[in-house]
Amino acid sequence: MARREKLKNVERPCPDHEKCIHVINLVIDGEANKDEESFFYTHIRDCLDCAQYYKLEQSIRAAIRKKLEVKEAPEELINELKKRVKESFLKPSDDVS
Amino acid sequence: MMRKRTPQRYSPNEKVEIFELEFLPHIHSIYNFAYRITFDEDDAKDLVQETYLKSFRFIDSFDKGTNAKAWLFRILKNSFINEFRKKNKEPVKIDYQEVEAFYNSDEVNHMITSNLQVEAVKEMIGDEVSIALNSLEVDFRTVIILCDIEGFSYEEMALILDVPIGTIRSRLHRARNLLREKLKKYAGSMGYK
Repeated sequence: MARREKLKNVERPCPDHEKCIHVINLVIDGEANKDEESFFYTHIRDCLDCAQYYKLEQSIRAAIRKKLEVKEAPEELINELKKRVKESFLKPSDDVS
Repeated sequence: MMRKRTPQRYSPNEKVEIFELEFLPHIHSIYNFAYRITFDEDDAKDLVQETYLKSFRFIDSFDKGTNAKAWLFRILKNSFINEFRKKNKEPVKIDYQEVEAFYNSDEVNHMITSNLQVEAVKEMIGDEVSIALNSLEVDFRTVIILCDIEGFSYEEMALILDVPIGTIRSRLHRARNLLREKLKKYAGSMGYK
């Protein structure tokens, strides 16, 4: 019986999903305060909508972090910058422009 | 980190040391960001070069040992806005406040639904994620990159972009909604509901 009650809660649409979305994003970004965190951990256990949203947002962030090609600065650009910085000391001023 | 402060007087050796030990280690992040906002390798190189030469020119206003990465990103963002956009004569000047007001409206909130599935995102390849991210307007793309790829806090992002923290929150919120919507379209084309 208790289990059925619990499931009923889980499957009920989130009563305040907009607010939850805001809190979930703060938690994932590491920007939530203690109250927001405890709200998140108690609410998300009982709310399917929010648990799904949380997992989806996490998977999107993971995809951005892991799947995007990271462009590295070309070696010649790094060498050119080092050269120009050193050259600036040969001039009377520090102007490297 | 970026407060008004008395400039330092670094010796030439100290300057080179700061440049090489504190600024250069961030060059790949800076370049990657420059590329993601310009979509062009040559433009990205120009922006990075300008950023680093400025960082050296104004090195006395940097406090050794503080947040060099955020300081460099701030210089890059200013260079992009002040010079790069002007030089490249963007065809349409967008009123970003107007754009934000539009995306903050309830109407759009209703448009953006979330039936994208975790499995669909996991199946996606880099190109699909990249196309979705690249299709966001530059201010929205910027906050996603700074937050999700570079790991800046909201406070650091507010300093880098020179806007209040509330604007960072709402811009991120809208950016995430739009990105989810774009990804949903790809997921749909892959046969996910």
